Amino acid sequence: MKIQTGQFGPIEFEEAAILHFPEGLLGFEHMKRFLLIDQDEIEPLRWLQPIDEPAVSFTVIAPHIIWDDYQPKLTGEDKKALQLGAGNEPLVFALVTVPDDPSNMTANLLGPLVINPEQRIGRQIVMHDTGYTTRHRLIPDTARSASDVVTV
Amino acid sequence: MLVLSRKPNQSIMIGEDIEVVVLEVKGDTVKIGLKAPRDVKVYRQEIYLEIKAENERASATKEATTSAAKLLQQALKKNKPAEEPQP
Repeated sequence: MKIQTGQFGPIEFEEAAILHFPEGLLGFEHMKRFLLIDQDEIEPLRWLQPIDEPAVSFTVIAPHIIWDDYQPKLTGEDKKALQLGAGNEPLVFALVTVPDDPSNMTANLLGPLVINPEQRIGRQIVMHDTGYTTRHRLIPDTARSASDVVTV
Repeated sequence: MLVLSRKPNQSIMIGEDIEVVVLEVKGDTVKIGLKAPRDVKVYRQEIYLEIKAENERASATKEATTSAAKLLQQALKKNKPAEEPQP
């Protein structure tokens, strides 16, 4: 299969590579199929490429890289929708927003993407009552000022 | 908008299988119970709107993501040593 993307030009992929989000993303309900694309130069970020709207690309990160105790709370309905059985470990990603100043990039930990890697089904879940927000800085302000001091 | 008055423990049916129950009214807070099929998604509106808005902001360009990744790689490398004060 082949799509013409806005960010990467034409991409060819096999059907088995598709991640299915039957409900789409919140606000993007028409985006039901995605590709997860790894690129050395953007590690530990990764691309999430919607097949149904190839002009757009998303950036994601596995949140545990930065927040090692982050664990989405899945409801029974989430597990059912993801066809997650006992012992099935889901993959978790947070969408990353990169503003004009990229050092202020944030991850959305309130609405993580949870994926069953075996069935290749995903869902954006909502973490009610957890204290997480849609904007957690990936580089804390303090780390940035500390590195500024080092360069001076 | 349809406007209905309800007292605590009274409810409203939406269609045949969604029930909204007023459980408690205390000051300016109304506690509501929802009975709905499990495949009906129930969100607090402000949280739903917040995630939706953030999803819309999240669309990224190759250039922005590449420079963000560089900064992040540096920050992750520096992170631990930077926390230690210099002797």
